[in-house]
Amino acid sequence: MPATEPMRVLETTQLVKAFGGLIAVNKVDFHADENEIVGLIGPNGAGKTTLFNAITGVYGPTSGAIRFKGRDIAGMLPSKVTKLGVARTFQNIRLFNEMTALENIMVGRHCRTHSGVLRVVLRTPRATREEKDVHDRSLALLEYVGLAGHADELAKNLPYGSQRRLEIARALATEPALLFLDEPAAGMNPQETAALLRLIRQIRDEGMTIILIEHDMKVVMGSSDRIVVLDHGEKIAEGSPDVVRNDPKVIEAYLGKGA
Amino acid sequence: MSELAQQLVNGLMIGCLYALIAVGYTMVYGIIELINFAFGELFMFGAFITIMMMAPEITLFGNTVSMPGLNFFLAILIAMAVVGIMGVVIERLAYRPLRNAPRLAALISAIGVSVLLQNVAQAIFGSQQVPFPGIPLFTTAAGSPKAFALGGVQITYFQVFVVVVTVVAMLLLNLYVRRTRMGRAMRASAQDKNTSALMGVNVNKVITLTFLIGSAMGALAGGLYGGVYHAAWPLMGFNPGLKAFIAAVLGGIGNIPGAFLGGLLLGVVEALGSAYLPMGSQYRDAFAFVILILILSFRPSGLLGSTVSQKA
Amino acid sequence: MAGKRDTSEAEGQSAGAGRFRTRLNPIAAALVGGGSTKSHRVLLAVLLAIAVILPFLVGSNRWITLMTVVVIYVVLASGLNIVVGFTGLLDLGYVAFYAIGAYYTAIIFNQVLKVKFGVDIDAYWWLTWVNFVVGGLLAAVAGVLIGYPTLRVRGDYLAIMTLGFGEIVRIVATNWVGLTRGPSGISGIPKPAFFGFQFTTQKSLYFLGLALALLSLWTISRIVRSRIGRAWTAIREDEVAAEAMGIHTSRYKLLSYATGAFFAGAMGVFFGHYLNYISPSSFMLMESFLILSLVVLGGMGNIVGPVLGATVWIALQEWLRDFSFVQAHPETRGIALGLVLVLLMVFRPQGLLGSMRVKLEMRPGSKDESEQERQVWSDASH
Repeated sequence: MPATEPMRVLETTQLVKAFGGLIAVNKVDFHADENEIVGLIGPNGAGKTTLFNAITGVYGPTSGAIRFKGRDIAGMLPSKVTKLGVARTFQNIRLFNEMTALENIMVGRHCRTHSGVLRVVLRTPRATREEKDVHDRSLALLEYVGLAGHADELAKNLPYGSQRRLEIARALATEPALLFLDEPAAGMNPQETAALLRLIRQIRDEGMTIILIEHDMKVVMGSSDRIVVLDHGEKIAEGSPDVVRNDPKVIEAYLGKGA
Repeated sequence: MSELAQQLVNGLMIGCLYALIAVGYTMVYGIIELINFAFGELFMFGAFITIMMMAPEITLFGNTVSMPGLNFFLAILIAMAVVGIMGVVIERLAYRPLRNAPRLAALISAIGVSVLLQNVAQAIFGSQQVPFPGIPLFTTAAGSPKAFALGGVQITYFQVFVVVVTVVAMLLLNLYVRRTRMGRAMRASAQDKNTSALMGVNVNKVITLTFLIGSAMGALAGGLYGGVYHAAWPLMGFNPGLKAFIAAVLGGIGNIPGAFLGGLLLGVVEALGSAYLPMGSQYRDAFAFVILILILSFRPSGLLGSTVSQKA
Repeated sequence: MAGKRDTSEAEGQSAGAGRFRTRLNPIAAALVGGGSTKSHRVLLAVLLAIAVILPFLVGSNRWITLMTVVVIYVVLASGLNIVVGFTGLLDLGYVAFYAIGAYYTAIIFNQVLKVKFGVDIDAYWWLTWVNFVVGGLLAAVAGVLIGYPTLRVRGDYLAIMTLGFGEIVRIVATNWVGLTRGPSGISGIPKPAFFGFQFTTQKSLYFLGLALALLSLWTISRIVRSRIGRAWTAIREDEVAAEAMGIHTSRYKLLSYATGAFFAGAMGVFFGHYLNYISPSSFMLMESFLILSLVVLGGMGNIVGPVLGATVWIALQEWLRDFSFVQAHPETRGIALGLVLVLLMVFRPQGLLGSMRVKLEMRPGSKDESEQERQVWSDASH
């Protein structure tokens, strides 16, 4: 059978995001194909998180197109984008602090469940079934990321590394086709980082497409199929880890001119 | 035509009073992002203390006490000083401990202070209106306010006084904030409290000063208000306080000229609305809230505020 | 603002209250549900016991009237707790929804039926019961209308906007004399009746109120302990993250307003039929502040908090009223309220209940819960 074109899960075309006079993302063409892990790197302030935010709907783009599975999602509400199958974690960890670890993940199941006020009050069989399903799936995800046993701990009381993993579990609960990870290894020690790497690979092996912002080059190089480099809002390089690693433009961006 | 002008004059004057209170709100909110609900009550205490200093005697806690009977100008200055200190004490006790607490906590505390002050005033002064002594300078021998006519419009000397005082106060404040070291510190703190602290600004001192000035301005407004309406009562501060905050939002929160503009606009809209809209005078208090809804829906940064985009 | 979990509290309380729990546990369990701390259930069971038994023990109507007032405020505080405690929206105009329910039933019975159509309103006794729901729904619609402009507005501005709406409702009620009879208010609202049984005694009205309160609490408990409650709490904790997790925050905020408003509206209907007379003076801004204080006092974001807050405060208020000093100086009540708010926020923002939290899951008593219960019961009886 002839090899089929991998499906383009995400594509941005000449995407621009400006805040008043500051152009944070400048005509970026970016894409991710099915089951890829795309690493997004660049110096601080390069516009990586802004790109994430523009795609996931936290900001509306200033101009340019964003297509998810062929569908135009530019300017959509974040909740709608998530419902379509895009999930994310946050650079600064945004967990629901006063909720338990399990409850945090259960929130992720919200967009895949439907019981409304009436059904919930009357505890219809469907609502009860749905709730049990949510509970079971969330518990499974908790175990999947290695947090079994911490179900009833408040999110704010979890150690830092566990919080990062919890955020990933919560994102996975939304059943995404595309997962954005924003610096998931930040602040982790080498053991935690290695475990994270394993987790990311495992998630991908189960069919996920992942876009990853990271500064830890071990994680990026060790997981990404393809790397995109941003600097000052523009894409300056793209390609396999080896190609990008040796690209003079990339080296200059990180180390400055004359390096 | 002269009817319209008359309404404008009235509106302008009440607008000045709103502006004076609004300035306090806007300065405080600019730095610590707190709606100091208590400013309305500080305004009310300003009126009462002015009366206390002016009247030959006053009833406190049900007992009649004789009072110095000073002239209006001295009385109002004393009121400004006393209420300024009250504001500082309130900040220290009810707001500073909540500086790092969730916003909700500080807001609820502010409501508590407001309720507390209203009722304390009731306990001290009684719940009835207390008459404001006449000011000889502005009153004719017959007892009516000295006034003059300008193109068919009756303008009292006191109204002019109110406007002049407000404008002078605004100019002085603006000068202070723009030209002095402390003023710079205030503006820096309003932009970024934490960085200012790192740069050596004593943010606590700045906040204390802000409350001092804001409360004093509120007291000034109270004394003037008492002079215009010839009375003070414990619940008088609530409505003006709320409206002054709306005026601050209208002008652009954190923006001092904006507070002035917002106050004037609100005063004029209220005056014109109650005069010309059907049932306008009864729904007078509702205008401010309608304006608030409109401004927050269409231009939340206010008329003179700059649109600041939020980064997630 | 909730504190850390405090399991020692649970153990201490359960042992002593074992007697009550045997009889009343099913109701307490239904209200508080499996998964909450033992203290929650015990507290609720105790309050419930008092609520049911006390009217038969006291002679005077004064206590029963007091308890009816408590019951009304319990529901109001619980409704506001949905908006403020669970969803984190500081609604300062909540009393408006209460007013809408009350005025709705008053106008329907008095202005429409009696005055306009000239019918014998006693024949329409069934309408009272319908009005509970309709009044609630009307208030819910108002909640959506009031909530809509606040969606994109920051917390403090939201507070002022909602305050403004509350005031607008009161101003309209005071001035639209044709509809609401202005400051004189509307009288002649009939007492509730049910197939011939007249709710004329204080006791009967109290138990009606209590039944409504229990129904409301039960409903609120179910809504909160579900994906809806989780969505609300997520919005309170981090709105951006909630939206990113697929929660349409605007819709759920409006739902929160509507749900909170519904209970206020329904209670407003009860209030009208209880007092048989309403006027704008019952719906002043102070009421909104008072209801907020009850929520804050008891502890936000859990089911029992507002119940406790309402009970404690109203009881305290009544006890204070016995002192002649307080009678002569009504402002002491206001001073106490203001002080309570400030002191609570500075020293104990999580309220009286503080550490307890509701488990945001629908779990009709799991197996390990009953195991723990059995253990505690056996402990208590030894």
